[in-house]
Amino acid sequence: MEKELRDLVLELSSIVKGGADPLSLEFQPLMSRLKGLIKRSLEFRHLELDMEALYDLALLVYSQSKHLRDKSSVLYVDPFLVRLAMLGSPPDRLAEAFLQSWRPSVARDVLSHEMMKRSYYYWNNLKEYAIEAEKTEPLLGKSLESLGIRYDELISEGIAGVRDELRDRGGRVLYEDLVGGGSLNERLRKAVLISFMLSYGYAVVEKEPLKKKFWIVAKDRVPDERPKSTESIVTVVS
Amino acid sequence: MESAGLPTKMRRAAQLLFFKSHRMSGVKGWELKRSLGSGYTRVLKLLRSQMEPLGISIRAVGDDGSELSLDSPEDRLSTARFILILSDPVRVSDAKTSGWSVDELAGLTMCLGTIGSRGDKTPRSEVEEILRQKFPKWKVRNFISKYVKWGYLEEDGESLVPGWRTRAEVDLKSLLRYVFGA
Repeated sequence: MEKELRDLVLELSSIVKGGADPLSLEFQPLMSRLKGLIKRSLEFRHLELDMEALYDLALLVYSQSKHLRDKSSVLYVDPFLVRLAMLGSPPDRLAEAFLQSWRPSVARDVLSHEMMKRSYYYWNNLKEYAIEAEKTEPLLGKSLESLGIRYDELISEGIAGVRDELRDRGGRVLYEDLVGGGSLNERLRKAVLISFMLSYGYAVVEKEPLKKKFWIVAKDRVPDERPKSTESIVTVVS
Repeated sequence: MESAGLPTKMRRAAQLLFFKSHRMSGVKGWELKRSLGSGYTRVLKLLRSQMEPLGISIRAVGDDGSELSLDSPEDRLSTARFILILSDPVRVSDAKTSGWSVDELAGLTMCLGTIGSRGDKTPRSEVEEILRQKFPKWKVRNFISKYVKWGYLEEDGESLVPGWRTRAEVDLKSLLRYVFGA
């Protein structure tokens, strides 16, 4: 009996004094609960708690009424007026306004002894591992030479050759067909030359995404024209 | 719930409520239930009565940012976040002690005042433009990124909305009332 009364008082005071939304509690069921408790005992200590609960219920009704009144008065706040009010106030007054409506949360932001101990054991039991970074070498002129490509050749003979081949084959050839067969070195050499030819603007790539096909289409080079956007296409030459 | 275990459960609840997870303070209702059992709201009520004299309250914040009573339905409480908050307003000198500058507080008031009066969502450019009338441009950018980092604001595309921390800690309606009274 006494415990039930104390629970009721605690529940009510948490809303009334704790600043929670007073409309989150309904008055009628609480009143009925209190009525039932009053009838059960007329002992002085119980009556004292009854009075306290009744007082808190009265405060709850007052809080609900005040809350509704406040809520209706700020249902519409003109943004322009808010802006004027804020611009007309010095920073310290604005800071004060914030502090009045702010109830900061409290949190622990330090390591406990137990957590440090656990971290220490975890670290000690952690297996060592290392990822060896794969050493890559930049593709230098030397490497190109090993493929049978000389840089000056790229500019003159090689690109001109691929360009002529493209024209001879109708000006529109599938990438794979243009790269052609032959040894891996020969295919790589051709692929490099095609990419240079595309970069110089002697041809463009036409994509057919649904068929997963790339066409190389011959184009007269316009030296000053810069491509609007560039993209890389990954193809496998094997 | 065993009454003999209550003090232990209260201590455990207090420790859990002080936790922080990914910058967010407090714990979810289901986490408390997992640790304290199904009667966790009773433990919290008892803990609340112990903490209130110290000026600390337990607040349950629902998914939509609304405050919930500890007697709310279980399904709402299980997804709610339970945090510890200070019961009384913070004084300017105390806010400064905890690392806030008056300009930062004023800037946040202007952000939240603007967003609150616009109905919870305001283009970032508009918030910046209002702040620039009081603070230099570099400071405005710095402030907004700090507020986002601290959880007081959230970015929603090109707009700013109140963050989880604003919903949990700030009474926006009171703020607007105080702005008019400032």
